[in-house]
Amino acid sequence: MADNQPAVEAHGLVKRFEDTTAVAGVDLRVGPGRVHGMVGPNGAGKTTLLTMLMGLVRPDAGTIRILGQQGGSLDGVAGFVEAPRFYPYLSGRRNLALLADLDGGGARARIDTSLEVVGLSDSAGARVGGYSVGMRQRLGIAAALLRDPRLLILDEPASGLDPAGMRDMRALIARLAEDGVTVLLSSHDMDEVEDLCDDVTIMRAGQVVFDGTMDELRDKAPDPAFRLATSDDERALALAGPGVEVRAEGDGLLVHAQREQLDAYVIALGRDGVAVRRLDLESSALKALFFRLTESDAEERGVPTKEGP
Amino acid sequence: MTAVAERTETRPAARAGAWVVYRWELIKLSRQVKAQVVFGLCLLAPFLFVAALNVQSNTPQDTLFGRWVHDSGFSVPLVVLGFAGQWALPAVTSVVAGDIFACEDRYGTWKTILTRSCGRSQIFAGKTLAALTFSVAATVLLGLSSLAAGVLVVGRQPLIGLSGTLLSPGHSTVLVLESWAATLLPVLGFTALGLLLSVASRSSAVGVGGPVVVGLVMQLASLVNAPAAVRALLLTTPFGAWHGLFTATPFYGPLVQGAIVCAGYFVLCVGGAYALLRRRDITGG
Repeated sequence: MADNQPAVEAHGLVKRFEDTTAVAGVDLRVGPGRVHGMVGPNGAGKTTLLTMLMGLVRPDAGTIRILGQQGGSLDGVAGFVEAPRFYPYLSGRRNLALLADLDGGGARARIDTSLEVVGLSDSAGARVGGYSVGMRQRLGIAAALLRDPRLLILDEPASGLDPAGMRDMRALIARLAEDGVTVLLSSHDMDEVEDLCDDVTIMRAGQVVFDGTMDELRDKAPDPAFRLATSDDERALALAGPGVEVRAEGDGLLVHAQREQLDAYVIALGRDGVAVRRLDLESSALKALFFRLTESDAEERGVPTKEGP
Repeated sequence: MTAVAERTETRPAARAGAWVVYRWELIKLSRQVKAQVVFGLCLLAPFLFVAALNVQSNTPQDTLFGRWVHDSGFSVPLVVLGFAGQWALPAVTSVVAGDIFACEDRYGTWKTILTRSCGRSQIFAGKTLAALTFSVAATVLLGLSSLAAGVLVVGRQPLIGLSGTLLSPGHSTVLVLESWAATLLPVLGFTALGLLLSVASRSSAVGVGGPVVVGLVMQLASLVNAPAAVRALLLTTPFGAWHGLFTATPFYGPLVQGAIVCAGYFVLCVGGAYALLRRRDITGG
């Protein structure tokens, strides 16, 4: 594969399941060495797209080129779609040995290292049937590492992990990316994508509604939203200045503003004798954009779409 | 999680052959209780059967060679063969064949194994070979165990053939082994049927129970005097093809006909299963 050749290049992908169109003409380009996030609500088509990339589902239309190769070759590709699954009556190590043998090459020699990387060395001899969800998730990563991948495809990699496990998983993905591994990961969690990814594709109802770099996404993001409770909401509404959009919602106020304008607004409230009793981040700028893109008709609202069907 | 595994120079992974899949399927089977139970039953059931016969004076006279179970140990494996052909062998073979593909759906492991350097054809071939190996091994074990139970418990007396001639112990041994060998043909046919149901239904219950039900329905069709052409096409008919070996002048027609029918079932079922697996979208398991 040439150095600048995309790790994933898909054009016009379509997949229908009976009357449902799960993926409707999606284009996807994942640059080499990038960490590319794929986000969208349930039913957006993310998993179907990943299963097509991994050769598990045949597209009804479109072409896929992975690491420069067409025709479903998975050489250099590893990962999992949905939760990683193993044979419950075999130990973790035995499961990895099986998969290593299916891979051939030097995969068997990487079993111990892979187990160590994901922190499962001590429990590798136990049957997988007794593993927690998080342990299976980590075993899934270990199974992927056996293939010494150049492209890692991960579907909800932090799913089922406790906060420490999530932190470790993110650190691992970051280290793999530093090593030059291209990572394509799907997630529900915009914060996770923001932390890890260089590029992002947002999907909705089988279509791409945004595709670009994280910086491009940030540029297009609206003001973050904050939930505000004060001693005098009516007065607080009246004090909203330029760059601060305030409206009553529920038993408090919803404020849309950049941080600087918000700071000025809160100071103004204090000067005017209005006590701030609570101020919470309702949704970050990226989350707000994500909701706007995925929960409404993007075109109607004039949301910019860099690339889409 | 600690350090990232050191990357080695990447090169296209060599495709694992079907034999790797086959070897692992055998390892997996050896770890499964169901396979251990089936082998245990095949080994012990004939001895329990002979022991039960020994404590009663009655004999299973409605079964071929049943009246001689107290007189010649060689009749025991033939009586067992008569019983086994009705439902036991379809059940024994389908325990693995009917589950070997469906279990990947049950465990959700299709995505795990189909995203390695191993194609669907290799996986299909390896699993099919493993199921066939299990069926043959279980049948051979049951046959040898029956022969051993008869000879050890009842004795090596000469066997009376279907034409009334006395068959020497050596000749009887050869004929018993040939009879069980002939049974492998419908066993492989039922194995193929189990494989097809396993792939098509994605359900272990259907894959395992289906061949047994089909076998019983076919037995029923034989009992109600279905037309000869229909009976000839039943997969259960070849289970009785060995009868011709025990006449004074052996006849092999049913064996040849049975072999053709079994081959037909085998090719259709295995071919169908392969086509289904090749075309299948792996969305769930």
